[in-house]
Amino acid sequence: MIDDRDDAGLEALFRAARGAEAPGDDLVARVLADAAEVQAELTAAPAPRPRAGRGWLGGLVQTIGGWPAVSGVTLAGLAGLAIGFSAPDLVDSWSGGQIWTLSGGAGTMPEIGALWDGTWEETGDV
Amino acid sequence: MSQDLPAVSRLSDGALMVLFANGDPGAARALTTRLLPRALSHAARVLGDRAEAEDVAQEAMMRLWKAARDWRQDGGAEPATWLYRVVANLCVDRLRRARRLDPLDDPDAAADSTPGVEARMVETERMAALDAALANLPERQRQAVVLRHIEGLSNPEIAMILDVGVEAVESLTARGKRALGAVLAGRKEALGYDR
Repeated sequence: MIDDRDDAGLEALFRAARGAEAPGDDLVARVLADAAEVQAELTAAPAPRPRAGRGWLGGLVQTIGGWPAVSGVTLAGLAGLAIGFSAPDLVDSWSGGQIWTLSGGAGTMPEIGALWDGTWEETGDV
Repeated sequence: MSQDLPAVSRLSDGALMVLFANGDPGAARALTTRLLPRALSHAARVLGDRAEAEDVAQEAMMRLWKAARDWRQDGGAEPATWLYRVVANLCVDRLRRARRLDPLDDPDAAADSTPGVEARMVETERMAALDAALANLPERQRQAVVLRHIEGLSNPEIAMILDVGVEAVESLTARGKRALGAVLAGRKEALGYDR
């Protein structure tokens, strides 16, 4: 337990410690030399330049998250196309037969000729 | 350079940091005048070794200069608080390294120095005794006591420096001061308690 006298003694000791460590000229000189060196580097280094302007494609790519995102989207699209062409019935079964029903029996892969003679469009309900 | 001092002396530390980064020659001297004594005093009391404290103070100031480029004048940390924090961390690193290198180091060794007869020697002995007593405290308590009672910082400032809550600071300083008083109790006469 610290009594008042001890406390006063400690406070006196703390007071004596304040400012007891004034930096010498040598230390000040070293610190200022460091400062001059760093300051020279700071003022010599050119400010970081903004990157050269990107075209509209670059802007679009950046918007969706850069080229990695583009490759992901492209890969997903190609995979979907490949599955649709190679196994259309599988896609229809995943939809629970909804595509077949909504297409009015034309299914997911109409005859290619139906695309321009209009029969696929006419028979479809959609 | 001396002509720049009156103008810069009215500026805040944060404004001086921005000036420094912009190449103002007076800013470094003004910041050194204001902050180096605090860094040195803090390090000297925590480490109990003047030479080590000078190294730490110089290193901390070097980090301050390097931080100037990204210093934000508004809303950023106060340079003094930032510097105290760097000093605190550098001191902890040195203390831990020293403990690893010399685990049998006697913290009271400095207190056993030969007593002097001149006033300067008495003061030196008092500081040595204080440093030895501080060395007995756990690191966080020591930092908190030095920052509160010697550097005169507020508890919220210390909380930021030590990265703890204000209540923790109050507890650290109270326990630290109590422990310090207990360690120094046997040296009252030498320390001038009984005068």
